[in-house]
Amino acid sequence: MDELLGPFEQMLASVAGRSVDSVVQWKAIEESGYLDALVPEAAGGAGLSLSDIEPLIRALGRFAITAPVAETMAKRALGVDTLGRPLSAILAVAEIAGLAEKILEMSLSYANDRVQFGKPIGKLQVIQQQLAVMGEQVLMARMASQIGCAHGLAPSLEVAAVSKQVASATVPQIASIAHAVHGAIGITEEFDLQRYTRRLHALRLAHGSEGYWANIVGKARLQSDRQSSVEFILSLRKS
Amino acid sequence: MNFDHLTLSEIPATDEELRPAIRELIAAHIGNMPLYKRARTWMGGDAVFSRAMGQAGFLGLTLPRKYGGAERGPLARFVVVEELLGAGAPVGMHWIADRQSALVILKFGTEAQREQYLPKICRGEMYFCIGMSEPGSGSDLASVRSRAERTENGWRLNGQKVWTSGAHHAHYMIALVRTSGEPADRNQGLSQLLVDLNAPGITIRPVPDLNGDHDFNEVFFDNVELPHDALLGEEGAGWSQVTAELAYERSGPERIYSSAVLLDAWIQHVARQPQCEARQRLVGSLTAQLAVLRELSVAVTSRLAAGEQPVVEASLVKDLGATFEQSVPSLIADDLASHPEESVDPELWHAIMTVTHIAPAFSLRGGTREILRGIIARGMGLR
Ligand SMILES: Cc1cc2nc3c(=O)[nH]c(=O)nc-3n(C[C@H](O)[C@H](O)[C@H](O)COP(=O)(O)OP(=O)(O)OC[C@H]3O[C@@H](n4cnc5c(N)ncnc54)[C@H](O)[C@@H]3O)c2cc1C
Repeated sequence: MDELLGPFEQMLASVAGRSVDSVVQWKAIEESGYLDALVPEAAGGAGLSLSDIEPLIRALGRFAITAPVAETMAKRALGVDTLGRPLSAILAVAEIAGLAEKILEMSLSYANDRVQFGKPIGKLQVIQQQLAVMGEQVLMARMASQIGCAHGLAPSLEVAAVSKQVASATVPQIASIAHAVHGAIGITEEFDLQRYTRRLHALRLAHGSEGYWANIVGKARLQSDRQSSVEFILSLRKS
Repeated sequence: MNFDHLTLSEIPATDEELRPAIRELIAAHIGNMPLYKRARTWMGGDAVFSRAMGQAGFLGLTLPRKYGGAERGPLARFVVVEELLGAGAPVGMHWIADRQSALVILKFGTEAQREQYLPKICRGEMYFCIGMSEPGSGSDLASVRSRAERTENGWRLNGQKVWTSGAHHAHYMIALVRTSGEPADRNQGLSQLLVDLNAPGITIRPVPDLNGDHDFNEVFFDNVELPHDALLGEEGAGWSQVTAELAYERSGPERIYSSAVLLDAWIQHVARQPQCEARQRLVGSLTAQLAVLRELSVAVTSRLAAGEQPVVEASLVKDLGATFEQSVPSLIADDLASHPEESVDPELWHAIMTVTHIAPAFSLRGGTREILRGIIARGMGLR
């Protein structure tokens, strides 16, 4: 897997950042060949599954790439011009998971570096507790992403709904804790945190927010003939 | 802590195959149980049910066959426990023995101790309780003061334990006690003892909980004489042994499913009412969260199955799970009371209020929320 992710991250690193021209960026991404990752081997692609490339989509999040890379991968594989909402939502979830990882990493290292009252703020229990909560939410987003990506390019509505509902719901808490820990510097135009939280907020709402998808999960649960939550959850794995 | 350690994991088909049989056993036993009792999940117990589980081979699933176990992996136990908790089966009698005591005895006990305790645990006949907390030692467990001294015949134990769940049904307690040094020596000089709760000098007093239920107790040791082989594992290694025990205690699916019975009873109520989008959303967000938590819990169990001690991972999932479980009674109570025109089964109200009152325990038992978050913070690299 690292053979896949490593070069991809290197490529992204070379074209990430706010000063990069978007045309140049897209050209580099296209030339890397990764856009055909999901295209079947018989059709000249890499024949990978959505689960296989889930780490790549997270990497797009970590580098705050806003170009439609994952969408293009999916469109090429399916040979379509537009994607259905469930798949679009799941691609957004994987990016949310990557952004969340990056924001957590930034917040942890900031907390270890920033000194107030003679010690790193990361030594303060209140800050530790806040960052633990953020870690929990990041874990939820990551698992939501894996659940969504486990069903290939034709996910069921219910699976997409569970995945996007949970991932979108993590966003407000992750963003607010990250900004709280960073203090005023996080609010500046110049400091990078805002690029990540901006994208995070946008993806929370893209292709349906947590409320939209909660309604869909709820409808499915209430109409299901499964008696218990355990049975319902098990049926999702098979769908 | 590397989040890559917790990934979506498959339960092997051979473990999934256990589901129909355990469902059948549960259905045969819980027919008449009122909702509020099922909603207590692992805080309620029934020896008849425990023995039936033992007979059917559902206890000691991960223990070697020669001790009466099934020699399966932790994921087999996950399947069985998920079904039990989801249905609110009365597992409380054997719960602690099956979840942690047996594993600690297998790991640290002598061959004779394994043979003495494990087969009976697997048959659902021998129950254990956890002797960690004391009046002066809650989160600060290393400060325990109960003390055992060596005598010619074994050990003499003095002191007190508290909050001991199920001590009034249990045959044995695995107690963390000081065997040398002073409380100031902290985690040095502690040992684990297998305490026969029928031994003279032991007094067990109920501590009724806020629902009036009898779950926990205080246990007094007054010159209790114990044999040499009451020592479990190595003298002085109590701290590292108890750390291993806590990993078993914190990592299971009971940390996400405590309110599942209640959730399902409410969902059945909502399904009978006219469609309402606000409600549908609430059903959906709770269901979606539980679905993701469940896969996280499977992922933690998979780390255990791989032979690791996923301490930080288990803390993350336990705290997320407790937060979820605690939100359920409060959210659904608000939902029902927002529809005063509806008639609600009084049993459902009773169960909601029972769980509402006990819910603070979800983030206390097995390590408090604040302590777990400290473990998580350090695990993520904060010092
Ligand atoms: C239903 C239930 C069943 C239980 N069953 C058992 C059992 O069978 N056997 C057993 O041994 N024990 C049992 N316990 C006890 C349980 O392990 C303790 O309640 C728990 O360890 C906390 O200890 P405490 O209650 O003394 O609280 P304390 O440790 O006094 O904590 C009180 C508050 O202070 C906070 N706090 C304490 N130290 C710190 C710190 N360093 N940093 C930040 N905050 C801190 C805590 O998080 C908490 O909010 C049970 C508890 C419950 C609720």
